[in-house]
Amino acid sequence: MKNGTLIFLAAFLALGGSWCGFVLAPQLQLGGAKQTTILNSSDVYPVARPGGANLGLQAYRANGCAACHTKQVRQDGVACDVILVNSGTNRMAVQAAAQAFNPALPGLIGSRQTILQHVSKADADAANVKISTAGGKAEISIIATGLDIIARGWGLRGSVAEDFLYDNPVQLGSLRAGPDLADEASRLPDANWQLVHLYAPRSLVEGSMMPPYRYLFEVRKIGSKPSPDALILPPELTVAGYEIIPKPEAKELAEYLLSLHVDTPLPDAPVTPPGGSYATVGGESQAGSGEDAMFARGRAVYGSLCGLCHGNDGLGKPGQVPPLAGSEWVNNKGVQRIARIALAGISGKIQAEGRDWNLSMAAMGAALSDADLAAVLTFIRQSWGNQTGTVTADEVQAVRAAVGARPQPMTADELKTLPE
Amino acid sequence: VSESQNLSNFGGCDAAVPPRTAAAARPPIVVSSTEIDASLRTPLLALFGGAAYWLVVSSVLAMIASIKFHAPDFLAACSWLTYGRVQPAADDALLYGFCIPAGLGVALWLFAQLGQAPLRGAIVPVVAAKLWHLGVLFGLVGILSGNSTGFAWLEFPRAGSVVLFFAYLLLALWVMMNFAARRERALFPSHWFLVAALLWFPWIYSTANLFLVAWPARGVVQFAINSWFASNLLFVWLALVGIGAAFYFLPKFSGRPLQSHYFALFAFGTLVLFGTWCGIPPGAPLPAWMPTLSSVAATLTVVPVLAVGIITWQSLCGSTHCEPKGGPFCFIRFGLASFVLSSLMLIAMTCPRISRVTEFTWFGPAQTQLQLYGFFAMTMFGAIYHLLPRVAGFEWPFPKLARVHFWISLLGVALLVLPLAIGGVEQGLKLNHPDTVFMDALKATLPFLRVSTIGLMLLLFGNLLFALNISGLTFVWEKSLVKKAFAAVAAPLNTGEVRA
Repeated sequence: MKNGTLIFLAAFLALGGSWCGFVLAPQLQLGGAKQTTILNSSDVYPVARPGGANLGLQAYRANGCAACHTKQVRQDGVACDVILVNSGTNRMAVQAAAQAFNPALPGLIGSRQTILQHVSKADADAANVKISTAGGKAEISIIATGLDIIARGWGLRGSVAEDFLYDNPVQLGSLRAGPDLADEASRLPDANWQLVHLYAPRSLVEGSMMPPYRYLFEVRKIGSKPSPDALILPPELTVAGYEIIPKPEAKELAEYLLSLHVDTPLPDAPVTPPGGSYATVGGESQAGSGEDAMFARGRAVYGSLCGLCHGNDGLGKPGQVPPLAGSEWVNNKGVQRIARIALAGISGKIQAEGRDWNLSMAAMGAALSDADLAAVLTFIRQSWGNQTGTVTADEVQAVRAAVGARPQPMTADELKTLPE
Repeated sequence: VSESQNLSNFGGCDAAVPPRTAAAARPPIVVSSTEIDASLRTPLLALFGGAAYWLVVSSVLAMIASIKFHAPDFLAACSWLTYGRVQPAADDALLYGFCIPAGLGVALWLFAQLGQAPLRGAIVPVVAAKLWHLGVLFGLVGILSGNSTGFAWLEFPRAGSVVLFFAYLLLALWVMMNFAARRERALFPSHWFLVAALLWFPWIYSTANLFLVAWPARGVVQFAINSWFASNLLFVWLALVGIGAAFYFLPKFSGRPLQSHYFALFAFGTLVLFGTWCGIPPGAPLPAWMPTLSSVAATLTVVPVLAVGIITWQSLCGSTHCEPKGGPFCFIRFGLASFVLSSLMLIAMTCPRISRVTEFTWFGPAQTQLQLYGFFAMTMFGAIYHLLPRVAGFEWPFPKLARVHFWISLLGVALLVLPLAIGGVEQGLKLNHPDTVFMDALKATLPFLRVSTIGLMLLLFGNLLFALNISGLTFVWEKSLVKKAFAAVAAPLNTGEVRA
């Protein structure tokens, strides 16, 4: 080969080209990225994590969590709901305008009514213009679509570059041998749950493949005063006289997991955080109509949260977790009892379906929005043979206000004093 | 034992190409193959010997990781052996411990043979090889003790990386000096592949270490650089070295010239042009142009992959050469077939429609294992089985075990890769079904993961055979050294001198 030098130069250029493309160009485009402003707000995003959570990222790295967990939510696109918030003075004109877009609309009822559901941005804008011309006022609620978001409930929108601005190292992961963790804090916001799950994953998630991280914990004899850090364990893991104390690394890791959110609306990734759009779908009329949006949302939330213990068949775990299917605590007329259990947690002895249970359930619903909690309670009350009515966001809001910032979980006796 | 091939067979020069009309005018080359081989003895034994041990270590670590899918509690109390550390350690032990030093050793031998130049200053590559293996040790201990950098395929902490980098520079420098001092001036297809690979590694490795570990870039830029690095190391670098070596052995074993010289140049050019741009996954949270560009490049990478397939096919077709089953040639043929298959898997994974199913599933690890083990390691086994007895000057102590190694590895790769790939597709389809609960999708992969443990077990067994053969060979060689030394010491001890 006489053209050795030429071949060498050509290869050099080809190799260098890819360096410019995927090392230099990303650095030029994104290396100087700054915080962005949150949509419809003056706050900036992202903000640096507090120290403990930042150390937790290092525990995440050191223990190779990214070998099994991704931290990126995939999004397909967006869909829009148009919600009428005020029909103004000329109701008939607004109704006509709304029905021009949605002929199936029965008529105007109450406040905050969803007029169009899951339409394109252009259609939603057109309807919005028409309604405001007729004197009404409408809001557009933007919902990110995609399996990760809708079916799995792993976030409110897809992950974008901004989400990782303060991560070092950035650990996106490439394999889902466990669930995506990008929105872990919204899904499972209870620190004790996270720690117990690290200590003994299969005590909380049946059939989990996650190895236990017992080396992040210390087993200690309970001294004169029990440690405030000690884990609140399920009964089968409790050993009398001993307590399980998380080492600093475990506490930081839990703190880090509880800092993971993908729910901030950004200019290039708009979403509407839950708070109305789902709970008011078609008002009361759609109750029990099966696969409507609220029911679907409820199933997503249930699958990623409640189902971990209560099972996706609602049958619970014998001896540990009571069933939800056919339970007298679920199928009440009102929502006072079930909503309180979700919002404040429950502990102690309780009778359900003719058996005795000794429970310690955290306030799993406290971090959910009213709309999401209403959706999941509706799902629970209408699945596996349960046939009780829907729960609305307003009802959840009322219970939440009554519960307030209550630190201790409910007990069965306390619940019994409440109206059904 | 000695290299008896006529020079015209080296690199499988196309008969139609007269590359050595100029060379023919020069005085005949007097260096014998044996002399070249002897000059390579100590560096190659150091490189391959250490590599064989890391291969076994990698298999053991991979087995530990895999057993955790049978029993998550297995060794759970030991932080050094938790899944998230053992798994990357196993991968890195295979890549940095075995693949790269084996590739460098084979490159060293090929350059010396093709250029007809014995290696000068063999002590430097020996030191570099020891240094490299020391770097791998630092790196693995770093990962297992929780000091991984957290970047895929770059997990070794700083101390390990720095040692590796300088060991590599020393080795590559010696290879290039041997290349510059070559007596046979003609260039062969293997030369282009190997020279490009030798220069590309320090480039990508220093870039990744500088901009990810030393002065980390901000945010997702890290992910872009990491993906670029991983793809260029795993796909491009391994392909350049593996194919470069295979294109030397293909004509040598088949007895037919490479079909053809120019087609090989075409495959090389398109590989460095398109292959280097692969690697950014389609769904990554990066500006859309990056994954798109990567997808387009991956699609175009079909060209060099098919070119390699066609060259292999045509060079083998009509070959009258008959080789005993399970010999070095079998390894190389299997390696080339795995290269085509694993590359096609890689390309499929960047196609947006397929990636919707395969992304984040076990299909990815299946592809990586086929590339690392099925293609590269197998090609290197073939090369080493062929060249090491010539270099050491002794036959393999257990030639039958070498054959067994081939059949066990073949079965092992199949039982490792197939279940993971099928399980991955199953997992992806289930995950894409809105009504399937996440845990059910995971549980569906368990039977496949458990079958893959059998594959790993077979690979571990095969690797033990390989290490046994290399240690045996080294032992025989060392024994001969001791004998010689003893003879040298014993000889002058005649009674007259002692008395005087």
